[in-house]
Amino acid sequence: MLVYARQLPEVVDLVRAFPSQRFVLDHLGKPDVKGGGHQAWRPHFEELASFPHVWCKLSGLVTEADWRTWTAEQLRPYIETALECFGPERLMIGSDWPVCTLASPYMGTLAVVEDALAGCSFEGAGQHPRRHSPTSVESVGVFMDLMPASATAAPMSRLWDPAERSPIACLAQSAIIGCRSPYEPHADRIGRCSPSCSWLRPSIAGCSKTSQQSASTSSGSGITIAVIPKGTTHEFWQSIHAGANKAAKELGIDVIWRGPLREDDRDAQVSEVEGFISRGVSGIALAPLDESALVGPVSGRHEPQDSCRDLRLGPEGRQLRELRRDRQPQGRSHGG
Amino acid sequence: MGALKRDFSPADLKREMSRCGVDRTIAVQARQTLEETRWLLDLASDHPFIAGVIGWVDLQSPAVDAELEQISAPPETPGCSACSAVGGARISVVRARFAVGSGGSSGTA
Repeated sequence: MLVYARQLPEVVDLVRAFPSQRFVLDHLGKPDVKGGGHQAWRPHFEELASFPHVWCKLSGLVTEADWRTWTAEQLRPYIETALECFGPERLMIGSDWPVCTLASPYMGTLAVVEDALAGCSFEGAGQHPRRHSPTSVESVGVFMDLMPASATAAPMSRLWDPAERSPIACLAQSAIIGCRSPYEPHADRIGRCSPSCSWLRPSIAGCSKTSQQSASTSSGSGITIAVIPKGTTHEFWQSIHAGANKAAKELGIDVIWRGPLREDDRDAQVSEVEGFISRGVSGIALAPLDESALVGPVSGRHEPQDSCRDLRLGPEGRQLRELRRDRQPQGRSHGG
Repeated sequence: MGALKRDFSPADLKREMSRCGVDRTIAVQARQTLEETRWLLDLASDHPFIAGVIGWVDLQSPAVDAELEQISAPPETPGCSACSAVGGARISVVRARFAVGSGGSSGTA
């Protein structure tokens, strides 16, 4: 997403509306470095970083500063804020070459980011990076964290060599594809992400008819919704879990959370779906691992005559487009 | 901006990368055209050091399905298949035409 800092509030609306779509914020949201815009930029940037499905590209800063007179000190606060808010796992360095050459050559552009990161250590999400003395050489951990987990499987040689202080290539892959291991669960972060389960609500409304048939619920509402994620370990699904629990509390219903441990275990997911169907829960919210394998259980072969089904399922791409059509008539200018 | 008004070739980039010890790169689109996305994918096919492409399609186009399928097709060339192997998913990532409709200009990429 390529936007100016003043457009960040709209970006927050956008990512909140599409919790299963991964986003990358380009150029840190283009803060006005030249005009000293750190204070105006930071709150919205920080809010955006609270969504675990958003990554950020650490790039494009030199051209937001004064092209001729910029200094590393002017850029450092923005780099440190990015590290503090997103953490190394969701940051990737970009050169913005050749546009960067307006203000700095390729090497200088990478060096300013490298120096800023090498000059501080990172202790965890929400923690301000601790700054070392400029000559410290013991803080390369930041760079190691930025290495994609796929590096060993991919023919990418020498991403980071502490001895040579070489910059990093190809970080984009890990962040965009999401193969990095996630953060340790962070209570505050997950709590703030609970809007990501707002997609439960319409499904619940659509399923209330059959809910009368399901018994043994503890909320007293008689409504039980099974939520089946693709996996249960990734931070993204943990945030969905937290959101589901929050929604259940607010709506006075019961939510059962069960999913496969691994995100490639289609059989386990099929068996969960079939189990909940035969159990007769009021509704099932499912993030299908596989379009074809889940068609059988989901298509309603075992459907009782009087049930109603509100399907909001599909591979991520399709879901995105369906949601987009839904939202268009509201006239908000999200632009795409 | 005058400094940008010339061609920047993969060879130019390779030279800069080599000086910094950077081995591979991801090319990101600048123009919101399918032609440029295809062009970048072609460059990636010809130059293995271009490990991936961030492309663009018009999400509001009626042909978006076909266009996505076309640019996401598994490439036969070593350069792009390497990229595909890295990700294990489709190689193109869509960047929406965000500035349209919100009154902003597109800015630099």
